Amino acid sequence: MSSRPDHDHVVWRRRCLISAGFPTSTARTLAADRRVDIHALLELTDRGCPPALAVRILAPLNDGRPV
Amino acid sequence: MESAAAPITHAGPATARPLDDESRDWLRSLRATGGEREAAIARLHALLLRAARFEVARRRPTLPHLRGNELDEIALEAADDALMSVLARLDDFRGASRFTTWVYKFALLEAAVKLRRRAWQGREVPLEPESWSLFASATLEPDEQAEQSELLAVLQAAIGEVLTAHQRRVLVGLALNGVPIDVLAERLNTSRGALYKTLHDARRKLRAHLEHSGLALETWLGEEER
Repeated sequence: MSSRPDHDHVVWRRRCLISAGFPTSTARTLAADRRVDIHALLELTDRGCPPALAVRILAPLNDGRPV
Repeated sequence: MESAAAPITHAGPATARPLDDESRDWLRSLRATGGEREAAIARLHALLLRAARFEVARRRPTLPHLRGNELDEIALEAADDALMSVLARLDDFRGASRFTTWVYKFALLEAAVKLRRRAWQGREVPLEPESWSLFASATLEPDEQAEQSELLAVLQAAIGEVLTAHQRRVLVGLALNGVPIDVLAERLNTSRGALYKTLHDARRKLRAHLEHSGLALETWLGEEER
């Protein structure tokens, strides 16, 4: 699977994240990273988890640092 | 590319039975080594490709924008992925059907999933209600229509009030706007199982809310899985 999704998909993913309260720049980065499970991020924020913490929790493990 | 889920094959101890000769030959040759295994894999791939082409041809009228070579590519990809799935799940085969029947389902499933994804490629995946009237049935008597209108109003309010924002997106996308679950899973980079869980939770909350309101949800938000 490609690590870079189609542009339309990136835009759509970014919109989902922004509508859930993610800062625009963070949403742009997350949306473009095919490793990020957007559903899991949105589930966490649904439960009251701050977006920044959700990003840290779900950062890809092989990255060595939060997204 | 993530492969589709394995088809339901009703395998398990309760359905185990002696294998027919042909199925036993398939398993033996696929578990062999060297040339015998390679020849068996080639035969299996040819079988899966026929099945995938059949499914692609069957669904072709619903995909008029796809050209013949694109359909061939989809069938080939489906056969490739089905082959990998079958080889990874040989131990799951219990002989409830002939081996060829069992593997056929893998190809049909892979082809169906790929066609659904292709059909939605480049399309907006709507996660907000496009039209609540999609829920409504046009074949009801006036008194039933009144009842339905009441239910729809309560349901619409419940979706807005009872569900979390993401539960609402998932439910509306899958149940109301008809987005295939594998398409939504691919866009969100998540699993079908995770989406089913969210959908299940959303339905449970809506059902509880409507029952509390004295209404029944049984015929709404169809329980069948895509």
